[in-house]
Amino acid sequence: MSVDTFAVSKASPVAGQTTRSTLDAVTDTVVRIMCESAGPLRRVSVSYDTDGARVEVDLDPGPAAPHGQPTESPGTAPTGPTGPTADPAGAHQVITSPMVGVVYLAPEPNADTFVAVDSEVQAGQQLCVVEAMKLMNAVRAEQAGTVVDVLVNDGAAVEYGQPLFTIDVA
Amino acid sequence: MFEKILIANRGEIALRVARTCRELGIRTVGVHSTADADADFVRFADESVCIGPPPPKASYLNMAAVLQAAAQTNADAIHPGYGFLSEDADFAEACRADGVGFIGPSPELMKQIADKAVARARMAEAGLPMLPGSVSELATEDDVRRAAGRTGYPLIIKATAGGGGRGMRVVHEAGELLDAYWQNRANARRLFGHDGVYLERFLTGPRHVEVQVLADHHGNTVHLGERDCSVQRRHQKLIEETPASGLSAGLRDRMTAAAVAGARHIGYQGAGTFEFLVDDRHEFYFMEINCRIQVEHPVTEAVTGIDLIREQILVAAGQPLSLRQQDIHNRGAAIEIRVQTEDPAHDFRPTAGRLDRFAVPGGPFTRVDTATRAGASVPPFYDSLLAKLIVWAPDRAQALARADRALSEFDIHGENLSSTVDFTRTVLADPDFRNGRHDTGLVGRLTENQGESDGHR
Repeated sequence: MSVDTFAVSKASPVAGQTTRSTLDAVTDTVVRIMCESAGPLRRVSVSYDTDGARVEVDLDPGPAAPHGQPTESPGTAPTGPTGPTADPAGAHQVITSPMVGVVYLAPEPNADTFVAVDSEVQAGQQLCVVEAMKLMNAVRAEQAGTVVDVLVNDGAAVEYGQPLFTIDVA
Repeated sequence: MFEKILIANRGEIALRVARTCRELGIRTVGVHSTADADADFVRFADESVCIGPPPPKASYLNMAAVLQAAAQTNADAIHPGYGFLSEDADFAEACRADGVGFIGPSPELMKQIADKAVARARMAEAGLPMLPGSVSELATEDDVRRAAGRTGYPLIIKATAGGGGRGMRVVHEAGELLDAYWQNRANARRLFGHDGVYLERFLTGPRHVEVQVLADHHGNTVHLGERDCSVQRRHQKLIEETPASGLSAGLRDRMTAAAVAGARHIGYQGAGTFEFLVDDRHEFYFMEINCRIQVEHPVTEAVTGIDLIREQILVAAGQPLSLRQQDIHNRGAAIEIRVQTEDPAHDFRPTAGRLDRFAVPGGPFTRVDTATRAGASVPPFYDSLLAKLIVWAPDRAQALARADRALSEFDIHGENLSSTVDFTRTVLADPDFRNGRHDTGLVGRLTENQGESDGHR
């Protein structure tokens, strides 16, 4: 992993005081780094002292394991989210959860659900939200089709790879 | 006291921690990647959560997924085991921010310990003996030349953020010094994300001896004796034992006293290990502090009768240590042999695949920590530790005989799998090892000999 340190704009910090402009400068710096970085970021660390604010970024190291104990064998391609699994019949696709979190079937409490059994969906259409660490992550249909089954209840805790919907894509 | 602990690890250590939790009446949550869905450590846990795909970055090192799993299972503490997130101060800080306990030292202390230059400076303050070298990071070529002038050659350049035998380079003469310095900084930056390096005198053929300490949040610090970890391959431990053979009682007392003084000086909390190098004149030097449970902790458990994971959990829950130094009596000798799925004939290359046969030894004073079974697969994504054999006996000679007997009972077979069982029996039979005259170069010498006699090299 490589780390880059960015000094946040000189004018910002007043000793011992976090000002609105400091926060804005930090936010701007982080956004700029995220936009400019080629690969995914591993961690962003913001520190603040009398010398000013610092933003440290760990760029994703690629195949080198950053910790002592676990070793990744060479040539092991990282696998992405589990994605949809086709059933033996070939016509049904199972949409699985891309992360550990809590499922919301509707955009807000008491609102209509994003989809229901028999809903026609387009590729890329949002099916639900999985909330993890206070971030809302949209789960979308991979292909157009019809929702055959909703496999979770609203507000259920799900794990990575847990089936959420069955979609008939025939 | 905690009611539910999430174990953020896999394999034998995840099962080891869960067993003690069950004895304490604490419920457990096992988190795992998709590669480990059927593993024994997952089945043993009271609840389990799949946190991601096989690569460690996406699962066992994925802080957000681990914390989310803790939140939705209402775990009140996280045990990080060893490796993975166990020495990550940022993770400990994130646990604190999320209101979940981290079973380990405070993030502030972990940050100090992780920076080897800071750790060295703090231990020098506490009066621990240091190898001649630089106390702080080497910022300029002048710093490097000055420090090298003090140590002489050979010397070793190490990354301040390094550990586990990675990010080090031995320099034999002045002509190589500056090249090695710049290369090491570049390597350190790539491996650890920080390019700080320091240097110290390099000992040829040292012993690696470490001291186990336990400290609570009420100012009590005790030691549980030492472990000799000199049998290493690629700077990774293979066999560990206690007591360290061939060490005088006076040296042992000075080392354990130094570890306790060092722990008190920084206000250490929890289970920790102070690592030292011992040279051929029986002088010892501080090397580093490990702020987690160690793979080799069972040898200390065998001679003290103390469950270190239990103590770690009780301390993290804020309880005072129930042990005073005078209550701790180390009896007999214990030895741990790591069984790795590695090929000793090919530089201990890791192997992976299905275990067709897997039978473990039994018998008197024989403990096997493993989380696998026949028919299971050894995934290629993780550390190649398959099992740990720990034996106890009243003296070292009996312990060595018992270890060899137990190793002979292992039946490990899989089409693409190699194991280190036979190689470690060769180590146990080595005259230098039997006489306690071995050093960290032993495995290298044995593999060279083996290569010559087999005609492989």
